[in-house]
Amino acid sequence: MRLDGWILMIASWTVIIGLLIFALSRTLRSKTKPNLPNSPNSPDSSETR
Amino acid sequence: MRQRWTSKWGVILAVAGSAVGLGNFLRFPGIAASNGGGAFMIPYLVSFFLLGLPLMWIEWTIGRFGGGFGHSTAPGMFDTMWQKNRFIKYFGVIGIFGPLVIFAYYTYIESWLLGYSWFALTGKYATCHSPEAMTAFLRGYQGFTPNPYFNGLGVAYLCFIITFAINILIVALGVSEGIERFCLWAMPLLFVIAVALVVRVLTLTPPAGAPADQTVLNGLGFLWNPDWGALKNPKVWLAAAGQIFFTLSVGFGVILTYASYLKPNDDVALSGLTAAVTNEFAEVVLGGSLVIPAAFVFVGAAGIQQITQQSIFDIGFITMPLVLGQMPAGQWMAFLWFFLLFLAGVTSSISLAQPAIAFLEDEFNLTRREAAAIFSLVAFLLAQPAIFFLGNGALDEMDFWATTVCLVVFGTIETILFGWVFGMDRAWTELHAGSDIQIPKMYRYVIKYITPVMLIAILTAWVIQDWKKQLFLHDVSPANKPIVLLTRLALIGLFLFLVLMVRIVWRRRAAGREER
Repeated sequence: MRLDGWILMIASWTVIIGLLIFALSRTLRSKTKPNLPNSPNSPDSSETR
Repeated sequence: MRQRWTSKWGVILAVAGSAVGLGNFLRFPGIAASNGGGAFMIPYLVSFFLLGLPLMWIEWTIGRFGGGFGHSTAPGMFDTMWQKNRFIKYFGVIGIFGPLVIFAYYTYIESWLLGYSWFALTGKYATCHSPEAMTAFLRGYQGFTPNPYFNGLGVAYLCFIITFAINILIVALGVSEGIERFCLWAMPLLFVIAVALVVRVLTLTPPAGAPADQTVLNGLGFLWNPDWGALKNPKVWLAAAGQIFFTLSVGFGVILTYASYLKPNDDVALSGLTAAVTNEFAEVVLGGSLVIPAAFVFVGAAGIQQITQQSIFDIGFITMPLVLGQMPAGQWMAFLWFFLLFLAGVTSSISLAQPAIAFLEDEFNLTRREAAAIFSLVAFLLAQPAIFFLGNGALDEMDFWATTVCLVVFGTIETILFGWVFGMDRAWTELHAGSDIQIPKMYRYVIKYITPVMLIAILTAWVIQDWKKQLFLHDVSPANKPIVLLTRLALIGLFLFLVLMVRIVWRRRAAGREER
């Protein structure tokens, strides 16, 4: 494999694995939310319905 | 009582399972190698950030929003988002029609993987040592030509019935008891098998008598060494955008349905990102390290050129069994390969079943089992042309309309609806409701301007390249034209029937409102 091939492979893998680690760690850290009031666009928002 | 996901991981793995399919392991390496190698990753990653990820967020957000109004499918969701337009709900029919048609023929292809898993374990094709012999084996299995291995379609049909029943059983059990429970063990298992295969492939040594340069590293080089000139070719950029579009399962309508079972304050921004990058990991890191390096070690540079030009079925069912058969413990390696693809197939096909079932449940107040029974009857009938007229172009016709046309049209509609009709301010607020991450503000502009422009460019290019030829059956032999036209008529009939069902539901609902 050529040097530019190595660079592209490692760069692509780094982007994807880096994003995966970020996403998985944030998902693991996030807590289950209680049932908060609905989002601004939800059915019982008088603004939208 | 509306169904709900019971865990965050359940929905993430279900969406990732929907996205991870045969294309991750078979389509991506071939497309990358024949479109500039490593240089392909530049348009590929650009497309991921400007097209794939925004579409993922759009679908998760529309899905959760529609679920808040009791809708699990696109007609109801689109109608809720654009209440002033009486016709938008009919465009939403594409999000039920497409997955239903794909489910019908996809389960048949999936059943080949089940059959081949069994054949690998029992050594049924062990005497096939050449591509010609493996091709004859496959053609016999598909019922084209009787041979010493198969005397008709019996075995293939049995495998189809088993695969179909597994799918229906999982979806009939419901969102949390069936789909979520299945994906929670199937997806980790899929990754364990894929990692095991990658480790085995990356530790391969050239077989005795093979040239010394037939190494795994040179195989990786075949995939990753860049051809920088390819970046000047618009077709390479189009191929990258197309691959991102297909691989993430966006534009099907299935993510809308899955996300509709979220609670109003459940996160969608981080979950959408997690599902998307999980799919990318399976595709680029694992998928890119399997077929090409393994095949390179056994067939070398000359042979691999031919492999990248093959269809994904030829790579999966002809080349890979031969390559894996040459490894130590090749029988087990081949079994793992086919079982990996089978798991990837099932996690995708159950997601394809969900929109139609959810539509029957939501809009006709049917129970889950009743909806699954009706769905299975329609899908089973729809699968028959793909099985019995496979060689006559029926499956290709279904595939063209359901994937190429429906996906891009549906993706374009939902993107314009989200960014322009629903409005970027409301869309941005909805996307961040309950969110665990803050999406960079530049995505407001990406979602509103860049993603729709990219989708319209893909749509225009495909219209110019393929539509005339597909619409007027230029590549279909005269003998096959009646079958292809009948298949097309059946698809049009199904689409119109779904439009009629939506019309009936909305009229009934309007009448109910008037009575009150």
